[in-house]
Order: sequence, then C-alpha cells, then structure tokens
Amino acid sequence: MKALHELSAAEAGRLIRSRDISPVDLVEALLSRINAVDDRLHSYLLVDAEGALDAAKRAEAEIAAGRWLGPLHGVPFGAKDNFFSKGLRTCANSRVLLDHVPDFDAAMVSRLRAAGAILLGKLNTWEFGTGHGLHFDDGVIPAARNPWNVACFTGGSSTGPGAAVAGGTAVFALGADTGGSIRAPAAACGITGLKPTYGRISRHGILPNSWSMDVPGPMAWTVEDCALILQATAGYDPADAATVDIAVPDYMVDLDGGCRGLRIGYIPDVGDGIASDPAVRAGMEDLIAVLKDGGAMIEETRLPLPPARYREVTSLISGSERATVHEADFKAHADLMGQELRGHIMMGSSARAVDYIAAQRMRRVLADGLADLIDKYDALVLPGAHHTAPLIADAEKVRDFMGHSVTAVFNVSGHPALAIPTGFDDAGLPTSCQIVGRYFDEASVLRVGRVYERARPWSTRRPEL
Amino acid sequence: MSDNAPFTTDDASRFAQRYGLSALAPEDMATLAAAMDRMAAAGLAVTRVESRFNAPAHQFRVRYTKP
Repeated sequence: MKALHELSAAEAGRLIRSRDISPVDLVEALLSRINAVDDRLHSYLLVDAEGALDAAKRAEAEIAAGRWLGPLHGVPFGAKDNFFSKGLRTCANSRVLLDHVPDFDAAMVSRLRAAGAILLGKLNTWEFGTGHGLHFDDGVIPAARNPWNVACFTGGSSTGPGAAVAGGTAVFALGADTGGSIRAPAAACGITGLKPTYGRISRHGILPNSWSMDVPGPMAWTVEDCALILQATAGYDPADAATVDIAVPDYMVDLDGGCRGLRIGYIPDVGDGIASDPAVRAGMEDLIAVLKDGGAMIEETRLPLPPARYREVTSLISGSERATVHEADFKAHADLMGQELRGHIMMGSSARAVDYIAAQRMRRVLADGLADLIDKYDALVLPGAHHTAPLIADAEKVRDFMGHSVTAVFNVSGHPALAIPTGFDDAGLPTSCQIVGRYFDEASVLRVGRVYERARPWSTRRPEL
Repeated sequence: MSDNAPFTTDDASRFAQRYGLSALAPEDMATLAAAMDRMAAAGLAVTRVESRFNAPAHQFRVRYTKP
C-alpha cells in the first residue's frame, strides 16, 4: 500500500469510507510530511494543525456513526492563500494583509467543508496571484519549490498548490487561474489541474486578481480527483454575479465512458512560432494516439488567431482590473508590496480607457471565435506549457515558461481547460498537455482526460524528496 | 484646488504621437492638454468602492443559451 501522503483524493476517500484508514491518521501523516519536507518546498503559508485534527476527529466520529457525507469526507486539502478561510489568516503572500483574518470562508472552501473535506492550511502563491514568477525574495515566505527538483520553478501563480500536491503535503488543493495559474503549476509539478468554465464555480471570498478572468478550480493527482472536487464545489452562487444558474451534472456518471465516437480537435501547432520541448511534444502525440486507439475521431485544426492576440487583450483587461483592485493599497503602502506586484500595478495604472474598451470589444470577438471552433468538437487537445519546469535561477527560462504557455487564451474566452500529465523528460521533469471543452461541458474534458489517465497512469509516480 | 501642474502642449504632443493621433494639428495641442487635465481630474474624482469583491458593472459572461 502507498504511504498515506501519496494517496489520491479518490483513493483516500475510498479507504476512509471502508474504514481501512481514519481521517485522523491521514491528517497526522500529512502533518508529519509537512514537518519533514516543507522547509524545502515552502508549500504552506500557514498550517492549521489543531483545526485539521479537530475536523478529522469529527469526521471519524460521523463516519463511525453512519453519517458519511461523500467521497471527500475526511480528506485533507490546502487552499491557495487568496481563498478566505474563517478565523485563519488570509494574506495572499502579501505584507499588505499580514494581519487579515476573514470572518467567512470562500464559497469553494465552504462547499468542501460541507462535503466533509478538511482544510489543512493555506498555500503559497505569488503575491495576490500576480506576476511572471520572477523571484525577488520579497514575499512573506520564500517561493515554493518544485518537488521533482527543488532547484526548479513550480509554475504559478498557484505555486503552493502545485508543490503541495506533488510533494505530498496535501491530498488535493484549490487554485485560482487568471491566465494559467492553475494549469501552469499543474504542468510544472506533474499533476492535474482544471480551470472550469468562467461562471461554473463561485469566486465569492477569493481575493481578486482580475475580476473578469479569475476562475478557481481543483489541483490534484488525477482527473478522477478533479471530477470529485468539481462535483462538490460547482454551481450557482447568488454572491457571485458571474456564476450561471444551470444544473451541475453528475461528473462521475460518464467519467469512465471512454472516447469512442468523440470528435477531438487536435491543434499541434498553435501558431505562436514556439516549439514545444521534444518530450512535451511526444507526450501530446502519445495522448492523441491513445485517444485514436480508443475510437475517437481526431481532426487537426487551428486556433482562429495566434495566442499573442489573446495575450494583448489580457494585458489591458487584467492589468487595468488588477491596478483597480490594488489602487488604494498601492497609494497607502506600496512599500509593503513586492517588486513584481508593484510593477504590474504601475503597468495597469498606465492603460488608457480607450484601449481598455477596445480590448473588451476584441475579447468578445476572440471568445466567440473560439466558441465557434470548440462547438464543432467534444474537446480540443493542444499544448498548455510548451516547456518543462526551468531552474528558478534561470530568469529568462522562467519568463518563457509562463509567457509561452497557451493558457491565457481560455481565460479570455472562459472555456474549461484541463492540464494533464503526459510523462517525463530525460531529466525526470513532468510534461503536460491541455484539453479544452465547450462552455459548461467540463464532463467531456474530464472524460477525455480520464481515457488517457487510465491508459498511462503517470500520476502514480511520486517525486523523491 | 489641485496643486498639480497642468499638462502642457508639449505633453499633449508627446501623447498624440505615442497614441497615433496623427491627424491632430499643432493648434489642437492646447485643447488636448486641457482635455487631459479634465479627464485626469474626472478619473480622480470617481469615488473608489472599498470592497475588493465589488466587480465592475460590465461583468464578463460566457456565451450560453439554456437548452
């Protein structure tokens, strides 16, 4: 049997339900793991050992009394530190909010607690989820490290969630994605990350980075885990005007339905002139081969426009929104902010309203163009991160890892997008690929990902720390 | 009363050049400088909403029709 800290969420949930393990044992194992490795990983900003152990004891008693709440009951998770957590400091790795203790939980945290999951602590992030990953050592704690090689970059901005899941300091994690902040760290850390449709999950209680681009979502070892977490957290929330009041399907029903007859649009060349690393390319081709073997109909296609056109729009929209979010704090105490955040706020503050509105108009054109393409298929397959995780010390490659990633495209459009591991390169660093679906059709995205996950169980491999 | 120095016609010329307002004549620069002053003042005059969670009114929505 695997060590407890190596279990996926689904595995842990099954073992808890069958009472082969107790939530208390699982929480204690994770706390031991945190003690053993987190001085190297820096995955946590705050660990709530006492609160997690209390919750685990309650879960154990509830399950023993026959009040099992579902497949996440008793399963510990971490939340990126821009998710509000009642009674627990939420500072988003910023000195601006060092004393900030929310009096309510973010909707996603609240729904997970209702499903019986246990919040273990708050995870590292770039300050307020902003940046390109350049390291200036001016955060509340040092930058998170990649468990596959602690000299390497985790991707970001959900650095802690990526490091925590891959490093075994959380069974699963919550991230938030403005331009790739779930999918880039999932790719760099060799785990699975889902950015659902904009409006599928409530953002209520998540410190905003860019109101119109931010999407929270699960980060976990497997597609199955992501489906379970999405099931527990998706749905309309009157507290978030972006959420859409539509039914949430049962994501588990067709998860193992295979891909026979599904139409897959394959985009091997996204038109950005950037060559994926050979191992990344090989992984994507392997994914396509597996889908073909499974009976999917593969058709090569292209993005309506190259990724640069989408990035131009995000610079103006996210930049302006971000500068507005932080304007008051920037005026009052810019000295408390890190270099990357200050630079981004200055950039956003320099945008003209005319350009911002032009970007909004172009966003509608870009989103509708992508929707017209994706609506022809059950899913698209294309690169997410073109590269494996670079060394943290190599600033140029760190910038390229984020800047080359084909992720912001789907924040502009709002489509659901999954980063899924596709293997390892010669240096033992994980490779990843991106699966994208129609609006609110996360079920098809997960189903396609699950086909590959079952054929190539890369997520059973664990880093040595 | 603001103690900020008003934009000059040189500021306006640089702005016009930077943003491609090439059809403006030199005599338009005084008008542009005054407009820049007025809009900067208008921007600063907008009351800032305190809550970070208060999203802009033109909230983005994805294209979706209920089946």
